[in-house]
Amino acid sequence: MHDLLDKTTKVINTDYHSLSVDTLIKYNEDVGYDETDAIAVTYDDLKEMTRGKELLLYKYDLVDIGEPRIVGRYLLNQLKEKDKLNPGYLPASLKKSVSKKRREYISNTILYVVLTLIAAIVFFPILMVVMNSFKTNTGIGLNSFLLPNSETFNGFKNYTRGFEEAKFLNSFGYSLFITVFSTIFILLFTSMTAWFLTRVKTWWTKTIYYIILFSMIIPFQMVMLPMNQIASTLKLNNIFGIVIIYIAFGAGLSTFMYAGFVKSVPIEIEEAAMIDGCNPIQTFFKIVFPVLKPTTVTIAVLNVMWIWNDYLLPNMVLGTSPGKTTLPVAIQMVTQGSYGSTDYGMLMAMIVLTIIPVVVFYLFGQKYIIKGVTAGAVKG
Amino acid sequence: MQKFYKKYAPIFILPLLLCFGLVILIPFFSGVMFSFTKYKAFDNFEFNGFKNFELAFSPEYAPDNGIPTFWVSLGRTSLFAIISIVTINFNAFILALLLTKGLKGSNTYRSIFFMPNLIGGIVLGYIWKLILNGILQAMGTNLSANPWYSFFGLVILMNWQQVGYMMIIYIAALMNVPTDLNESAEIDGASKFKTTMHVTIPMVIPSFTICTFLTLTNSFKLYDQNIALSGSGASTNLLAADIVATLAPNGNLGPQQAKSLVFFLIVAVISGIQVFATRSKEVEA
Repeated sequence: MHDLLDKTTKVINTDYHSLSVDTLIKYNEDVGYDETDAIAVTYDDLKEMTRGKELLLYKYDLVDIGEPRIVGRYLLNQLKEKDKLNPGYLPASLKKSVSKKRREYISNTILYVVLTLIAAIVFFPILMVVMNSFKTNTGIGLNSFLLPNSETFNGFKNYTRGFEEAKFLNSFGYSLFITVFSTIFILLFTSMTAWFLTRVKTWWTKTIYYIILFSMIIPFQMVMLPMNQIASTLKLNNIFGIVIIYIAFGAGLSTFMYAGFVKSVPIEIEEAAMIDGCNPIQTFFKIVFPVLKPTTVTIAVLNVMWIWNDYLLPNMVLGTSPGKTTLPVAIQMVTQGSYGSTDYGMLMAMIVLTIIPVVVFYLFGQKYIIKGVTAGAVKG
Repeated sequence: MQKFYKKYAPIFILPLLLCFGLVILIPFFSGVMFSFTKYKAFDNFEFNGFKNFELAFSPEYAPDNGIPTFWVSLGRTSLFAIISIVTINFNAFILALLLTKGLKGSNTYRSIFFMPNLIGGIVLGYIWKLILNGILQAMGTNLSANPWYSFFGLVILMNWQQVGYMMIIYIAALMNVPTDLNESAEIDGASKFKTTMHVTIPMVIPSFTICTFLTLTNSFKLYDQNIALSGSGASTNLLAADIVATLAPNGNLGPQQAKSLVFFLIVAVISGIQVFATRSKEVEA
């Protein structure tokens, strides 16, 4: 036993940074493991071991049978002594007891299993739609959970039907145009308004600000009938006019979020620009708007997601004729097919095509999207 | 400087105000007025007092059971809101707790769980219609066989869509709980469960308030998912769908506008309580 402790002490006094994995295994054997045990216990830890001195101990901690356990305790105590003299020598994670470590390991494994199951629940509906988009209508009706077989496989026919009958590409173009231009104008108009209303403080700017805020609680149903009649009287019921309607519905939240941010921007820079001879328009576009960029990204995401997915407004304003309306309306129209029964194959294909851009958008701008979409809720 | 700014008011605020006035302000105030008129078009209306409200809430609008569809939908919507608030917030908070344990890969799971929130309401409705009908088919029935199937289908759908979203809000709140509070509770001998119940949860109460009201307003304004999943029908309509589906006797849109006004008042009251509640319930660290 004394011999063993001697060797252990030697291990502690070694500079582990310079040790290779092989040497560490050899030390393991020296302090009393049999070869297979040592490797079995430490294989995972060895990966970490190469990172530094404390890792050898880590591996002993996981073993709680017989001699190695005593060695582990001894090592731990030694290192704790060193930690007292030289705080920070022993990382916080190692101060936990052996059983705690082990419990943590088990609970982490369970946690990963649970989380992966939930992730599967998230993906399952989407995979179902993708799978069924390659099946015939009879195949979907028979059993939607089965993979397509030789009888129910329909190739890309559902997709080609979506392109031809439902004029998917036209609707896609409509959605894209409306989303992009509405968002651009919302960003431009609301940032200008928010900046002006925040900087100029009089009774009428306050009134305007609160009226715009108030509009956030008006449900769409409340204004939809008169709005729709005004829109058709003024010939706004087309792809350009609907942009104007979206600017109005986007005004509340966007102005509110911009105004919140403008308040935190120091006014001194703007004053300096004015003294240097900039008029307010130059000041806004050269100085203020670039500073607003983080909020602009957030608000852009928020509006893009909302307008792209909106259904009732384009349904009322643009109507439902194929190829002359947005994607959500086009999808709804597929289900009220001209042949009486719903063409589920085509519906699934259209859904897949509608989700793809959203998923791609999400993959690239995930960080901004999560931030943007939730900021709207927390601040609104 | 303010005077100098003011000269530029038309350039800065007029574009937005024009759109806003035309599309929201005028329709809103005329909408309030039209609620009290026999109203067919913008230039074709005559005042008729509370007749629209009587019409909209009369048994004539109740094809099945004698109770006006509006009240039935309101009851259904309230029940839906309560069930959604409990299930969504419970699931979201549990997920947030699991993902703030410092586990490797937490961010990936977070992104995956958030994803359903980006899918639009109509699309969501049809995705879940496919799945729910598939499951019910195996049990020898289908979604339209029983209105409660659609109701609970909608609860499942909303959970699938919203849990990830609320989770993000809870994660942000949990990250803000100072770690020394939890540590000192542990040193004082509190168990993990007790620490969660008595330290963590009180610290994240403001986010509970936010998420509760979000779920509440989402439930009351729910339309797309509702009509996509169960179609527009008196036995499955929530409030918003009931309003849109309101009949127009002799082309009179008044009853629909009257229902909208009541709907607006309900939403306004909820928002008012929300503003009050979020301001008064915050816990300082």
